[in-house]
Amino acid sequence: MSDDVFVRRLDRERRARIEAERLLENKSRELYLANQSLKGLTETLEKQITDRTADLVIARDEALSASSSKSRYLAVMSHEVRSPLNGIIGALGLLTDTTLDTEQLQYTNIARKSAASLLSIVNNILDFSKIEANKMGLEPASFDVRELIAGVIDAFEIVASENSTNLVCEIYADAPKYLIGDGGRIRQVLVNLVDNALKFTTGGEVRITVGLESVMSDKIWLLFGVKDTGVGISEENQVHLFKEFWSQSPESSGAIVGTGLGLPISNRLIKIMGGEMGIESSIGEGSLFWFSVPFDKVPFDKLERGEKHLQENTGYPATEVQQSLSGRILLAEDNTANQMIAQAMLTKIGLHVDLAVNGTEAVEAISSRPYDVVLMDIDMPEMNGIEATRLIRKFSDASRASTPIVALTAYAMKGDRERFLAEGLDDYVEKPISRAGLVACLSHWLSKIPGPSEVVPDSDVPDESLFSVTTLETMIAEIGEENLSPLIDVFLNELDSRVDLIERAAAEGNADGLAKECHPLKSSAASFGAFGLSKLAREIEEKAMHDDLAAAQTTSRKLRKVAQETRDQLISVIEARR
Amino acid sequence: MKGVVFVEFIDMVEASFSLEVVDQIIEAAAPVSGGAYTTVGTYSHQEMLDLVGALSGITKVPVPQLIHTFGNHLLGRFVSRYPEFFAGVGDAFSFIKTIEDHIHQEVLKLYPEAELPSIQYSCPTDDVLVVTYKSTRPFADLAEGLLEACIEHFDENIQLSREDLKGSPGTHAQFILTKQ
Repeated sequence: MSDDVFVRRLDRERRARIEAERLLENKSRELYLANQSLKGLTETLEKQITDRTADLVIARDEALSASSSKSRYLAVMSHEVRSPLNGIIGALGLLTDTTLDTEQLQYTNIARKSAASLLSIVNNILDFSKIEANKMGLEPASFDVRELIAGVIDAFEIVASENSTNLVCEIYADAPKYLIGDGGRIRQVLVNLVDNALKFTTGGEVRITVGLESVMSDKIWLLFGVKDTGVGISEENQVHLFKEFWSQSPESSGAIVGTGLGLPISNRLIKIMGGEMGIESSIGEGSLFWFSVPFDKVPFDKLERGEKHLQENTGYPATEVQQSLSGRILLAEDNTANQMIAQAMLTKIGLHVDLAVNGTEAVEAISSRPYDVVLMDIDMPEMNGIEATRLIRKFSDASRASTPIVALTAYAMKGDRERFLAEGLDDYVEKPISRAGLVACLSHWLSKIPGPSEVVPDSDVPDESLFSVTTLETMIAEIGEENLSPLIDVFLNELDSRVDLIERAAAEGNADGLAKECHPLKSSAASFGAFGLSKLAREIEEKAMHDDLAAAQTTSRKLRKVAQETRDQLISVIEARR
Repeated sequence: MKGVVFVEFIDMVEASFSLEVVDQIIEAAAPVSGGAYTTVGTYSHQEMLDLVGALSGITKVPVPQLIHTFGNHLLGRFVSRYPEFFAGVGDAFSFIKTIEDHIHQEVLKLYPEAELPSIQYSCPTDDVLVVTYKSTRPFADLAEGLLEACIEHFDENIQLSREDLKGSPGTHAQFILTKQ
């Protein structure tokens, strides 16, 4: 093999290496450029992702803001519409209590019914909006099923009799008396069903039934029914019944067709409670609307306390007993009509009421004297209820700073209660205020305050006749047995003349005279243990002092009878001691 | 044609014959590249035809047979150089099916300028594979040699038959592989 062959081979090898290096260099450059290009592309993609994410965040925030605006709008609407309605309904109620001729009474009743109907429509729309916004929350509490049904029957008694329809209820013995659930919403559903049944029934019967459906672990299922003998609903129409904004015209009665929201709302409420609703009906044979709902059992200790409470007050419906309270209330409310209504209600249940028309006045009032409870409107000029509450909570006097403050407002969205509580308010009463709602709230806050009602011994006689032998005996021990007889004579003589004077002042419409005569009677009667009489005198005095002459006059009509009973009781005690 | 084919051809000639024969065929063929082949380069297929022609002149072995033999040799080299293409493949049919859609795609990623033949296949039955070779260059013999060595590599009893298709000689051919 010649050297030339090797030389040529080496030469080829060298050239091949150089070529390979050149190609590799090129390939490396290509790879570098490709890498750069990829990097650029990655950055572009990352920027696109960042931009897109930012866009999504903006879109989400806008959607949340829109949803929040909608909720705020609902809250404002709720306030704006219900506040004046509250004024109208309350003022009409007060108007009905005045002396009206038949025609005026008729017109007032029409106005009351229309206002109530409007309130119901507004409430329906608000409920529907709450449900749509998933803001419909339940407020479970223990309630009395029988009392609830009785309330529904009461509410419709007049309508039913006008319609010549028998409104009856049948509560099966197996239905527990007390349950835990949202009684208010159950009532709303029943009211809706009964209202519908009466609209479509003339001269027949509407029957409310309640019975135990089943007991499953800690849940009690009750089956409610509202059965009417009305026109009935065709199968075709039954399909539409639970759809929003659908309504069947009541052919027979020609009554106003509502928003078509009542049944859908009822159906949704029952579903929210975990229950179900249905209908059985055929044309000409009436309809049966039913719903079954699970409730929690009332724990044994609470049940026992509830029963005990009722036993202590035998002879009284629970609501009657609670409607008598004592204490001094500061009512901070700027709207005159609302002031009048709240004041009338508070005074009627025996409370002393001072007024403030804005937050500034409320703060001043509390700094000048103590109050048992403050009812605080939220929207007020100059200083709103929340600011006023903040200032009150900063008082150096700890007892005044901790005065129970109850928000009194037409804000009615879910979450408001929590918001007010967070702002330092203690409780919440929704407008339009009802006497029952007010009493329920105030009984809680006033229960901590010692008052005449607490020293009254248990008794099964009506309030006005309450008489405490123990108190009388304490007094006798203090003044001496020998002084008793003349003292009682003086008291009884005075009592006769005072009752005359009070009746005269009432007849003359003399409020000052009423207050002046009742004031001494109030304390003297209490000294003899005649708390019923004392309470009555105090009621008349307070009503008279607060320019509620009509109420004072009405109450004073009971005076002579109660005075006579007090006289008889005093005499019988004295006789017994001899 | 990729440089690896030239490098392997030169190596085969050197191993089978001698360095002198390599020198002679390069001198005789006088390729444009000067015969300085590198695996990463790309060269005209004409150079390969000229080199094979020169070798045939020296050895008196017909060109088609030389190319066929080179195909046999080349498959072993591919197995050695690119084991990843054979890993996990258990039989000849499976491997052949990956040529067009996998191996050629990977080659193009690394060498976008590579001009590769089309290797299509069809399976009339489970035991028969029909492979259609189409190229702008006449290397059906190389393909046949590769297929033959492939069957051997997988140690299978498969009969290989060839039918040239219309076109320039050696550019279009159909191979029928029948399992025995």
